[in-house]
Amino acid sequence: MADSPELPQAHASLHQLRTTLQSVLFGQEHLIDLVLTGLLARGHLLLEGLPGLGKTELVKGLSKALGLEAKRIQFTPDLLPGDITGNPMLQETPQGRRFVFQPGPVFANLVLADEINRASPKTQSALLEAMQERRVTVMGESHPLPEPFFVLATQNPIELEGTYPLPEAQLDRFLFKLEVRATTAETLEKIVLNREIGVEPVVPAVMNAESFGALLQLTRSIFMPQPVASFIARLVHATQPGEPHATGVKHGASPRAALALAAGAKAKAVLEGRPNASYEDVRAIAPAVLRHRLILDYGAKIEGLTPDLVVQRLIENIPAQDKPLPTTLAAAKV
Amino acid sequence: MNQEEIRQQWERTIKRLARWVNLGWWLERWLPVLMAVCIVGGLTWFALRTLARPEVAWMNATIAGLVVIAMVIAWIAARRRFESTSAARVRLEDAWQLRSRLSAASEGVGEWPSFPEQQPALPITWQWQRPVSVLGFCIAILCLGAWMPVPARQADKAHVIEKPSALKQVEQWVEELRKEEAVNPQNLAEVEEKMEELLRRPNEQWYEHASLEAADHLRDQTGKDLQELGAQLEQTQGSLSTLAELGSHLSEEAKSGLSKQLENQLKGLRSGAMQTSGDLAEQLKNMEPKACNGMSKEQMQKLAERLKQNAEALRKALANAPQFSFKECKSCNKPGEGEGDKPGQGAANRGRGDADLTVNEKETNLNTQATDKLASMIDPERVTPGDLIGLQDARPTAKEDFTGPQSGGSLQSTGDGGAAVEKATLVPAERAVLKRFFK
Repeated sequence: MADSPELPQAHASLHQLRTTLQSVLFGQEHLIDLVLTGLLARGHLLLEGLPGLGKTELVKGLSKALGLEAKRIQFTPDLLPGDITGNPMLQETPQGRRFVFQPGPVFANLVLADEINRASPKTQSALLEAMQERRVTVMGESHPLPEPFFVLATQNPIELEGTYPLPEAQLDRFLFKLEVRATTAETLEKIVLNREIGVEPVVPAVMNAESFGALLQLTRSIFMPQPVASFIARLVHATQPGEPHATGVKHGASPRAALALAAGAKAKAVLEGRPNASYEDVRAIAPAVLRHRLILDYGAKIEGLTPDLVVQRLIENIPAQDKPLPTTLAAAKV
Repeated sequence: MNQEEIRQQWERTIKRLARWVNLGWWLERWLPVLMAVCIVGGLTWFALRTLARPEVAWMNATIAGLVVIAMVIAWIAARRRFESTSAARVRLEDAWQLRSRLSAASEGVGEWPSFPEQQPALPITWQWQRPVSVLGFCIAILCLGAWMPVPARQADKAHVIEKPSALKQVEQWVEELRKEEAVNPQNLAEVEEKMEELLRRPNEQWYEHASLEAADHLRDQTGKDLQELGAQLEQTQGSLSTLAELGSHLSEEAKSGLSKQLENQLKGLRSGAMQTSGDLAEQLKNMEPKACNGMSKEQMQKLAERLKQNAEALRKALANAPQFSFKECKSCNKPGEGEGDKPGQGAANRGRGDADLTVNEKETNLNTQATDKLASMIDPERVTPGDLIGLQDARPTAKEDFTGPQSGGSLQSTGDGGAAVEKATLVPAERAVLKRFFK
């Protein structure tokens, strides 16, 4: 159960993991927290940021700390689906010449899909299918992916030429879309003092696949109070076009977004050692969950409205308690 | 503090929050109804004050009742919007950033969070402007309805026209005398009939000059009659008492004089405008002064006592009219019966007032040079020929330098038929006015 003694232990392990990752990636505490939250929610993450901000380092550090197998795929326009999923190779076997499936790089616990938007849509869809189904089908034969399986994709926001932006329907498969922001001068100073080009940092393994699996199981058992579920439902519903706080939104978030919010809130609760999800957890992960699921109309884009601004507006205006107060009373900020 | 105590503390706080929110909902429903009640109440109050004299206590009770009914209706209407404890719990845990711990703990998941030592304020603030302004408006409109001046003309209409004071005084006498049975009811009925005749006129005419004069006259006449009756009763009682006390000691001549006086008094009582009532009147009517000789002392004292009681009842009834006191009854005094040792001065309404002539060194001063004004309020400026404005006793003065008859002069114009015998002459101011008019 959620209030079992495993929870403090899990909290301690996750704290250690967080500290370890912070020693690899300086000044990205919030990003690390969100990545860990996404992983605990069994979700795939899309990281958007400029090159050199530590995205690959983060994935590498994460794989080492978690004791998971990690692989990196650099997406290019000429990358074929088989280069990801793997190809049947004609081989000499005791039974004669046969096609034997050679697993591609997607067969790993942690896959870093670098610059995913540079691959052709066909290749992208191969990866997205693997993400969704957690198995690969080649020549009519399905090959399950290892458990746990996470994809951490990155995309570069400034290179538009020769890129294939992910379709909205496929973006929906990512649990979180995270923005990797540039570091501050103090952080850069810390990096200069502690890191060296070409030398990889030593990351100790904090847990193994089994203990991480237990954490994932624990996350699923976190209690979701009915008022929090109601809040999630109202928040997602409020993104639909025509709703009062969704002006400028062309397409709102799908039910999958509500599920993502619920899973993310539970993961955040585990990260904080709590047996229940809360409104604060939902608010904390809402931008990461909703920003790639809201499609704005052209008018809103021209006016400078961004999905983040819409999400912010929704968070401010959708209360945890939907019952209104009488006009003789006003909600006070405590 | 154990978990149970913490739970109770949290639930108390949650219920307190729910109560405040519910009070807000109730106020939200009550204020418009209250405003409607106060507007209707204020207008009704004002209308009642304009048309009639409202009973303030009744109005207060009605408005208070309506307000209470409005409270109940508002509570019923607001009840469906009342905040449940679970809703208040969500509101509280969200505002106090308790990370849904209260909701989880109430479901048995996790422990209740420790209650803060310094309890933060509840996550609601009152917006007092609206309730206060509505209450102020209600009080103002009720005050206006209760105290705003009503137009004078309408207020007068609302007033009942009271009887003239003279009639009220007579009415009081009649009531008192009927209660005491001091005067013959027939006499009282006659007085009442006269009053009714005066009151039968329209109310607006009660205070006209003629009506007031008639009312005053009725009062004066009735008062005077009662005064006379009272005085005669007292005198008769005095004579009877004297006869009872001193009857055996008096000489025959004195006794005869006293009997004669008693006879006169009894005659006066029988012939007066007002008569005593009941068996006393009957007894006095059949009583012969000579019969007094046959009456025992006790019988005479008893009769005297009854006469005294009757006189007292009259005195009591006339207590509100000092001018009709028995002592002031000048017309009741015969010459020589008044107080003091000076002769009577006489007057237009009570005879000459002659005094017995005495032989002294100084002549009797009859004060014949004094004039006596009429008691009636005749305006001397508006007297008409024939009105008596005064009397004067004076010795005729003979004109000693008589020179014999003289010619009376001659007429300048004898006047023809229809001709003006008096020519009007205009004063300069009138002439100037006429000149200006015709200019």
